[in-house]
Amino acid sequence: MILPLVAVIRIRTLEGRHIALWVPLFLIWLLLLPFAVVLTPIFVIVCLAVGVDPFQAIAAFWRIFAAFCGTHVEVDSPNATVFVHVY
Amino acid sequence: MSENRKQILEMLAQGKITADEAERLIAALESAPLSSASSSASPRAAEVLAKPAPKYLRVQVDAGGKFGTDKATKVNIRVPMALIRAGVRLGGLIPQEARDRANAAMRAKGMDFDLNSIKPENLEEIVRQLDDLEITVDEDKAKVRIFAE
Repeated sequence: MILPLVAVIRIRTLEGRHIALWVPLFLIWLLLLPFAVVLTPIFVIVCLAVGVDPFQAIAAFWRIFAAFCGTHVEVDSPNATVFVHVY
Repeated sequence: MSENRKQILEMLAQGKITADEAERLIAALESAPLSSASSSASPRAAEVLAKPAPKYLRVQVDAGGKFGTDKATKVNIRVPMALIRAGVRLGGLIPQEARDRANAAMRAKGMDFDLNSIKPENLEEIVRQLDDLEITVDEDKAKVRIFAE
């Protein structure tokens, strides 16, 4: 299971303006990687303190993030239309 | 044990199919693809086996004419079932003490639900049962529909 790589956001405003954004999530993951490395020991200590297997916990969080692939949100209101799709 | 074989045995245990049908299904699974297995079993067993597990949970809201305008506001959300699976797995890691507290809090609010009953082992069954789920709320100003697809 791989993490979502791109999110597409499209917004249409009341004035008829169209905004389309391709958000490169893989860049966000890369930016967060150093923080994750720094926070991992703390996370492991907390997991051990509460009696949770840290490897299972990391795997569970990984699955949560990976499972966002395919999420689709569409809101069509009189004021604006918003479309979000995670790839 | 393969997923299909496990499913057949579960249906047998639940009494949805007879031992004879289970034997025929397993034999068909071993010798032929799923499509031919479906034809030799009872319609219910064949239907359950042939039906693919739902991939998404969809929530559709149609708030017609709200917010002071004639145009309806429509919301369409599609959540992958994998997210629900991952959530249940994450829930399985919650310490027992915390789960007991959550159960007690829900009971206090009138929800008699045991979080301990949701286990990763039951996950596939839960997701498969969601396939039959369809909630439709139809009111004057809004319609809400929740279903698996």
